[in-house]
Parts: sequence; structure tokens; C-alpha cells
Amino acid sequence: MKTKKRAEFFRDCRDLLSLIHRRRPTAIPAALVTALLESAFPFVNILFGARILDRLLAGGEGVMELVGWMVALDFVLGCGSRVLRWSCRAEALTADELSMAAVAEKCLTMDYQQLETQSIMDKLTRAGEGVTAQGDLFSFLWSLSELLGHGLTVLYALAAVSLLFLPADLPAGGEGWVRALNSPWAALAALVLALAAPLACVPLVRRKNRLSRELHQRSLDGNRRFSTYLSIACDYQLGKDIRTYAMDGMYFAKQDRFWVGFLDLFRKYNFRRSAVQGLIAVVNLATVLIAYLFVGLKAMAGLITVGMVSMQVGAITALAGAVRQAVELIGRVDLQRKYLKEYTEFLAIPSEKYNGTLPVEKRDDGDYDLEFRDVSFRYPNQEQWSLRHVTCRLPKGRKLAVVGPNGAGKTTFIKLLCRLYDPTEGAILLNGIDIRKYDYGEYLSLLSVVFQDFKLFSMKLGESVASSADYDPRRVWECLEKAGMRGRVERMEKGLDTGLFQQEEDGVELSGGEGQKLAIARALYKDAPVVILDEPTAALDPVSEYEIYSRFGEMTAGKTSVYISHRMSSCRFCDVVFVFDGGTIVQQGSHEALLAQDGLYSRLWQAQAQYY
Amino acid sequence: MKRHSTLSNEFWLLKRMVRYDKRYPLFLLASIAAKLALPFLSALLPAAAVAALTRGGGMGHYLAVIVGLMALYAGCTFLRDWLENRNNILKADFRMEVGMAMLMEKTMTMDYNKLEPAEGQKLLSAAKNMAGNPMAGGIDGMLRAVEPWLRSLLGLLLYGAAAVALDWRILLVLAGMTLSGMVLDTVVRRYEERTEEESKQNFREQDYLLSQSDDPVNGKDVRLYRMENWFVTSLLGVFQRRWAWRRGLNRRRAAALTSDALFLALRDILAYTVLVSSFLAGRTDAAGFTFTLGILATLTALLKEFTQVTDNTLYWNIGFDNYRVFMEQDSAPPSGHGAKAASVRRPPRVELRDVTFSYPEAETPAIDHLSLTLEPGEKIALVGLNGAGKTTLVKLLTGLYQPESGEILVDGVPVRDFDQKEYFRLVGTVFQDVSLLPFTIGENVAGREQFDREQVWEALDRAGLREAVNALSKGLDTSLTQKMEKDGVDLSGGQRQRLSFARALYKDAPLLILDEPTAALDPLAEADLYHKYAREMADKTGVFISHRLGSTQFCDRVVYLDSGRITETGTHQELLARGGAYAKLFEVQSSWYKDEKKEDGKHEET
Repeated sequence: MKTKKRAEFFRDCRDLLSLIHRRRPTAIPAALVTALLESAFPFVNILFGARILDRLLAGGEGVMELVGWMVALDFVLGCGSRVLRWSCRAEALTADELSMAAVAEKCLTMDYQQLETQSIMDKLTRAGEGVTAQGDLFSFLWSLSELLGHGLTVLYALAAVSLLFLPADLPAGGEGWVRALNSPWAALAALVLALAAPLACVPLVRRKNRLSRELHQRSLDGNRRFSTYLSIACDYQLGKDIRTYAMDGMYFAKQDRFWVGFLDLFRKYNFRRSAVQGLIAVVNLATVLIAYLFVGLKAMAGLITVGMVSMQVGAITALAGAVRQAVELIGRVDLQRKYLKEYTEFLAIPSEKYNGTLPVEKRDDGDYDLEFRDVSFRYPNQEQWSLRHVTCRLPKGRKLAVVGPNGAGKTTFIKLLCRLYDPTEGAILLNGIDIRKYDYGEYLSLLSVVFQDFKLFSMKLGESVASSADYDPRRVWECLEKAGMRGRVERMEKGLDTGLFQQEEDGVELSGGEGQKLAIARALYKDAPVVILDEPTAALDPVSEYEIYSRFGEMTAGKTSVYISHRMSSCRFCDVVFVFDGGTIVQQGSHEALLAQDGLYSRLWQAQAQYY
Repeated sequence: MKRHSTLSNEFWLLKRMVRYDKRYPLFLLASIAAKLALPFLSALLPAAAVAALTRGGGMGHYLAVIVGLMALYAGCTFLRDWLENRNNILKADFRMEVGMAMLMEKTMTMDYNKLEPAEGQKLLSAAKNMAGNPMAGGIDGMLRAVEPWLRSLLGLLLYGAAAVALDWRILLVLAGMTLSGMVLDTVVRRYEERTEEESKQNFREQDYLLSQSDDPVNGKDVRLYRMENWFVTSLLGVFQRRWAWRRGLNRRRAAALTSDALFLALRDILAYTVLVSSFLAGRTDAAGFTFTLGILATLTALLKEFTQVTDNTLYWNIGFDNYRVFMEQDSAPPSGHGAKAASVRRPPRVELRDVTFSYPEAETPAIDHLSLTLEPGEKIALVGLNGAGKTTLVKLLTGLYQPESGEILVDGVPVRDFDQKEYFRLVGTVFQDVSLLPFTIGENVAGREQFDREQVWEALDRAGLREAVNALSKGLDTSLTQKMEKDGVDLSGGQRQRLSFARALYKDAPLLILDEPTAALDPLAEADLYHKYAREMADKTGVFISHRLGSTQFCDRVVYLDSGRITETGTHQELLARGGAYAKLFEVQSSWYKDEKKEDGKHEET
């Protein structure tokens, strides 16, 4: 079990280091060199200090020469290691940033279904929580480089301490205990005793780490609640309702009750942890005591010089300190790699959507034939079918309206068409071939979609229309024109370079209607043969709605288009209507034909038309 | 905005800290004492060892000296660590129980028109960061600075005196080191300050891009529009700007570090020269030599700490002051002149007299000299294009905003005569953006923890939500969302709208305001809610806003709003007959439905 754990530890560390190394090959060498210099630095004073003292006690000849060497070395190592530390830090931060970019890219390209799968995204959440509590990839590399530094310190210190093992010429009249002190065995015994203290601390350190882990685990739930309370208090949208409905009393009562337990948890753990921490510090002092006693006795017996005393005490203290800190660091590195390996695992998840290889035939006449053949679908972990036995053909080059009550399966229908999900049963065919067989990217290039919950990002307006950092401004203006947004954008000072929303400097806020028009412009820029608009006028006033309605024909000329809406009026300008209910298509036909039937369609129509 | 100095803010915090825990000054002093004693002891220890060895006092003497000093050292170490932890816990508790709690209470109770505008939100988010994020300095940083600052100041006096006793020129070198360090640190800090906004923006952009890329709600658009390259390019652009910034910072830092190391070398050469000659002249022995070097090292460290803490605190204060400014802003909601909600006749007459309201920094007023009277029990439909001022008018009527000029009267009593909380009792609202708390359904309807379950069920029933709630295993005690309880449920858009309607019904306020309450509903659900609204508003004075013009027919009167003014008012039929803006709007929307009755089914553009 223990070896297995150790193997896992090394494997994870290796994976993480290779993740870092792939992104930034200079980061790890920089950390190595820095550790080398940093650990050497304190030994300059330890070595030279002793020799200076001895030289002084011996009459002071050549002391200033030694001082000169020491100061010069101090300067070079001290200055060099600190300047290097900062560039090493920069390297490590860069490695971390590039790794985050890799994670972002993975999120952006992995299967949509995976993106919506809790267990997969939980990896990121866990890694994120770990990063908050224990540090990111940067601190991981940092810890490792510190660990290496402590290892080197141990080596340097052992080299210095090895001098103690050389027996001296026994002074005249040496008694028994002097001879005993002079033997290498005595030195070994003293060294073992001195190192016993930091090793005795190992269980204490373990305990401290366990307490930290436990606290982290037990506070997850409370942390979540706390941030919920905080976001409630600071959310001005909720603020309206909280004030007018006088809900602050209830809020504070709940918060106060939660607060007591939450803070007590931290207090309890911190008290326990602080006692352990104090104990560790005191136990470690035993090393210094033993060093002084042993080395002092040796000096008193005349076996070593007085200068050697300060040097050996310095070396043994440094040795024990390095061992102690290394023990603590290993614990931290172990915690860090446990969280961070979620990243490497996350990056290694394969995407299934990319299995298709067929290219999509490029056609100028838009002759793409899309067909649902007995398609059924249910969302992962759901028992209920969202679509059941749907068979239909999208009217090529014509306008299709999709209507039905909330929850009838309209949006799911679109999601399947967009390959965001694959059918549970049945198949969707493009020109007679299952869409799963096509290259994913090529298939998606056939579709321009404005989702009901479309997203615009806080970046430059022109880039947002083109979904790319470089774009053809002339075409962007054309699309804005078609979507009815040109005038508004022309009035903006920076035109296409205007930032959107508050994330951008001087970013403009868009009203719901303007956002919808921009999303439509984006769809137009893509210029795909199939255009899908899902509830595009929900937030619009009648005039803007009318604009969209009247432009729809122009926007989709020669294309296959799908228009989903609760506004039944939209069915008037479409050629075919599909009526969804309970996951199936219950009616299909032209508006006039459907209205003539006594069915769901005429009821939906009447519900709205009665007012006009 | 009034700004406070670092000292003023430290005192402001300390006053509250002492009030929070009387023992704080005691802990503080003890911690300073232990931390000052430790470097002294570590300088003394090797010196005492050397003394015991060179002055010849025998083994017993040596053992006694070492063991005694070590015991003292161990005591101080334990005290230091224990106090350190104790103080950290105290600080964290204070930050949460005082700093955070005060902030949350403030945001929950402050006047809405101070909270909602972008400026208020910005200040709040800065203040929140100061109370919530110890890494950003904030309350923790300001309190953390107190101990090292006092200690290093005291230590400088004590150890400085010892250094002067050795050679005053050493102080000169140290002063030179400090001055040069301060100058070069300032260069670094200037650079940081100059680039602060840029760098903050840089991190904001990074956080934004990262958070957007793993958010499933963006996943559909990202994939359909193949945005990954755009995102990654943008992210790398952000990083590249940051790397250039970091290189600039490190270059300046290297200068400061080199100057530091140079002065340290100068200090050492001077100190050793003085000490060696003094030793050779017999004025000091080996023990004194070792001890003085230790003291000098401590003095240098204290000096460094002092300048660093001062520097940090000055820097942190800029951020922390946001917290204090936020907390001290005058934001009490209007307290009125004792008018009582209970004495308002139901349903009330509501009158707006020449009301004007502008948003800060807006060029034109959102509501412009508007006068309007709602007779008791009258229902009006508020109609207009996006941006006509409908939502602002609603905020004025609900009492969340106060008119800039003119006044609003309810049952003849000016709204400003009511305490704000008292006035809120008169208003029931259903907003377009339904906001529910992550508490139980019952609590959301009643707005409190103790409520009459029968009445809540009745309200749910009237809003058409009884069945759906009944189907939940925990009924009224079901939590909304999983934010608080794992078994919480997510309601659909339509259900949320009904729940928020039930809340208004439970409150049973005499003035009911419905702002676009059916936006996301299918036609059947929409028609059903219209009927319910019409029924429930019967004995109330009401305002109804909707883009679906036909639905306003149950209102007594239509009020057409344009650029903050009323341009048309009358019944639906009257306005249609008049052929003005409302009629045009209605025509636009109804054409698709009405044309149906024509034979050809064509729609002319109007």
C-alpha cells in the first residue's frame, strides 16, 4: 500500500512537471539553478565566520583578507540568488498561465455533452478549490524547487559536519572522556541525536497536515453557503425583492445561525493546529541544544577550535532545519499534486465527437438535405424521454416554424441537429448519411444558430460578430446592416473596436433587443446554409420584433431556416410549421392547413390571437 | 469622495478591534516582547558559548549557560508561535464577524438607489474584496501590519543604540542602505502604481476568459461558432501583455536588490574593520565580537522590515479605504415623517405630480415632468418602446427610487412622508427578472421563516402553482436551487414567474405592479396567467407592463410612455381610434394575427 502510494506520488509529480515542461521548457531549469544558489548562500557565513574567529584568536593575521572573500561571495550569491528568484518566479507563473490556457482550450473544444457532465466538470471544481486552499501549478513548482533547495542544504551541511568525524591529535594528558569524544562514533551519535528532533516531528507534521485537510473538507459546504449568503447580500437584483418584501429579517436570522457553526469550525481547528505548530517549533530546538552541547564539549577538551564551534552549530542547525522543512514541504507537495492531477486527468479526457472523418461536400446551391429518422433522445441520467420517435425532413431552402408548449422538446430538437448531443436512438442524416460520420467541425460549419440563451462576450464588437480576432470589417458592417444594428454601431465612437459590457474598458451595455440583433449579425456573418433562430424576439418591443419578422425572409433567402417562437405570429411568414408536444411532432403543415384542423395548433393560435 | 490617511484608518480599525476583543492589546504587546527577545537571544547564544569557552569557566558553567539560554529561547519560541496563531484567529474572526457582517448588513439595508448604480456596485465590489480576500490586504493586511510596525520601530531604537555604541558610521551605512532602498523600491512601486489599472484590467480579462471558457451555458455558442481560437488567442494576448509588464517589474526589482546587496557588503566591511581592530587592540573579546555581529544582523533585518511594512501599509491603505468609505457613506433609506401604511385606504388613489428623475451621468432625464393619477382601484397598462422609462417609473412607484423633483402621493400622503420600510408594505411587485432566494418555497412566498401555511397554499393555488408544489416530496419546505440544500429543486421560468406572483398575492398589498411578467411563457400558459392577473387585480390599484399589447385589454386605461413623458392616454379602444403611436404599435403587432381574417393572408408593411 505504501509503495503504491509512493509510486502514485511520483507519477503525479512527473505528470505535472511534464505538463509544466511542455508549456514552458525554461521553467524547471530556472527553478533548479535558483535552488542551487539559494541553498549555498548561508554556508558562506557559516564557513568563513568560523575561520575568521579562529584567525582572530590566533593573532589576527590575514583576517581582513578572509573578510574580503566572505563579503565578495555574499554579494555574488546573495544578489544573484535573489534576482534569479524573481525571474524563476516569472518563469513558473508563465508555466502556470500557459497551463491554464491549455485547460481553457480543452473546455472550449471538448464534447458539449462532457461540458455538461457534472462528474467531468467536478474535476475542475475540485482542482479549483484545491488551488484556492493549497496553491496552483506555480506554487507546486515553487514548493518543489524549495524542496530541492532543502535537499542541497542537507548535502552542504553534511559536508561541513563531516569535519567533526575527523579525529584530532589528542592533546597531552587527554582523559578517557576526551578520547571518547574524539572518536567518529561519538560524532555519529551526536548527529543521530540532533536529527532525531526533526524526525520526531514527522508525526506532528502529519497531524497538522491532516487537520488542514480535514478542515478543508469540512468547510467546503460552509464555504459554499457563505459565498451564497454573500452573493445574496451583494446582488442588487435580489435587493429589489428583498427590500420591497422585507425579507432582510429572514435573511439575517438564517445567516446568523449559519455563521455561529461556521466560524466555530475554523476556530476549533485553528486552535488545535496552533498547539501542534508550537510543539513542532519547540521540539526542533532540541537540535540546537544537542549541537551546542556536543561541539562545546569537544572545544572544551581542546579537540576543535572555538571558531569550529560556531561553524558546526551553524551547520547542524541548518541541517536539522532543512530536514524539518523538507518534511513539511513533502506534505504540502503531496496535497498539491492530489488536487492538481485533476488538471492532467481533465486534459487527457478523449473527445468522442471527433471520430467522424467524412468531409462535407461544399455546395453553392445550399442543397443540404437534413432528415430525422425515428430519433429518440433522453438527457444523461434522465428517465424521461425528451424526444420520442421523431421522424421529419427539414424543408430544403424554405422556412420552417417550430412551435409548442414549454418543455415540448423544441430546443432539444435543435440541440440534436447541432450535434451538441447525439440521439439515444435513431439517426439524423445529412444527404442520406448519418451526421456522426462527418468531420465535426465541417458539419458545424453548415449551421448558423441563434440560441434562445445566446451568449455574447465582453470583447470587441467586431470580433464578437466574426467570432474571431481577425475579420473582414466590410462583411461585419454588412451583417450589422442586415440585422438592423448598423446605425447603432455607427454612432459608437470606436465603431467595430468598441468593447462590449463592463469587462472591456469603456464597454457599452446592450439592451436585450440590441444583444439579440448582434447575435443575429453573428449568425449572418457565419453565412451557413442552414439558419436557426430560437425565440429571437422574447426581449423585444413590438417595433423591434416587427423589424426582425420583416427581415427574416431577406436574411434567409435561399437557405433552409428554422424559427422557434412562442409568438404564434411568426408562423405566418414560414412555409411549414412543426407543432411539438410531449417530445413528438403532433402536427405539421402550413399555417392555413393547421389552423383549419381542430388541434393543438389552433388552440395555441387562438390563445394569442384573441386579443387582436 | 473623502479619503483617509493610513494612520486614521489603522486607528479606525483598532478601535473596533479592541471593542471586539478587549484582550487584543495584551496579545499584541506580548507578541512584540517575544519577537523582540528572540533575535536578541539568538545573537547572545553563540556569543555566550564563545565566552564560556574562551574565558574558561569549566564544563558546568558552559552547560548551565547553554541550557539556561536554550530554555529561555524555547519559552519565547512557544509564546511567539502560540500568540501568532491566537492573533491570526482573532484577526480572521474579526474580519468575518465584524468586517464582513457589517458590510453585509450595510448592503442589505442601504438605500437602493445608492446600491444599484454602476458606481455603487464598483465601490461595493472593492469593499467586499477588502473584507473577503485576505490576499488583497484589506482588513487582514491592515491589522497584520500593526504588530511588525510597532515592533520594528521599538527594535530599531533598542538595537540602534547598541550599534551606535560600536561605531556611529555603521548607522550611516545602514541609513544609506535604507535611503537607497527606499528610492529604488519607490521606482518599483511607481511602476506598479503606474501600471496598476492596466494590470488589474489584465487579470480581470484573464479571469473573464477562463470563467467563460468552462461555463456550460456558453458551450453551445462556442462550439457552433468555433470560438476556441478566438478565446485562446485573446487569452495569450492577455498573457503576453502581462509578461512584458512582469519583465519591466523584474528589471526594476533587480536594481533594488543589487543596491541592497552592495550596501550590505559595505556594512560588513565597515563592521569587520572596526571589530577586528577593536579586538586586536584588546577592547573587545571573541564573545563581544560574535555578539555584535548578531546584533548588527538583527538591526539590518528590523530596518528592512520597518520600511517594508510601512511601504505595504501605505499601499494597502489605498484599497482598504474603499471599505471605510463604503461603510461610512450616508446611505440610510428615507425615514419619512411617520406616515403609516395601515391608515392608507384600500385600494388607494396614486398620484404623480410633475415627477422628474435622472440617472447619474445621463444627459436626459429618464422620467421627465410626468403627471399621472390612478383612481382607487384603477388598472393602467404602461406601454412604450424599450428605454421609454417604464422600468424607472416602476422603481419610483415602488419607492426604491425617489423623484428628483415633483412628488408621488398615495391616498393623498406624499411617499416621502413614509419610512421606506413602511411604504414597501403598500406595494406588491412581480418583476420580469424573477429573483428568488435559495431558501424554501414557503419562505420565498411569505418572506419570513414563520408563516401561515394555509395562506401560503392559498396564494400558490391562486397563482396556479399548487399542484406543482404538491408534487414535491417536501412541499412548501422544498429549497430552491442546490446552493443551500443538496435536495433543492430548480423551477422552470414559468414556475418562477408563478411563484413570484404567489408572493405578491400572499403579501396582499393594495398597490400591485406587474412588470413584463410573462416574457418566457408559451401561449397557453401566458393566456392562463393573464386571466389570473385580471382576477387578482380586481380590488387593487394596479400597473401592468407588457410588450404583448393585446394582453392589456383587461386594464382600465392605457398610458403610452415615450422618452420619460406620457404622450397618449385613454382606453385601448380610444387610443386605437385616435390612430397615434399606440395604435401604430398595436397595428404592427396585431397585423400577423389580424391578416388571418383576410382572404389573401398577405401582410402589408405599415
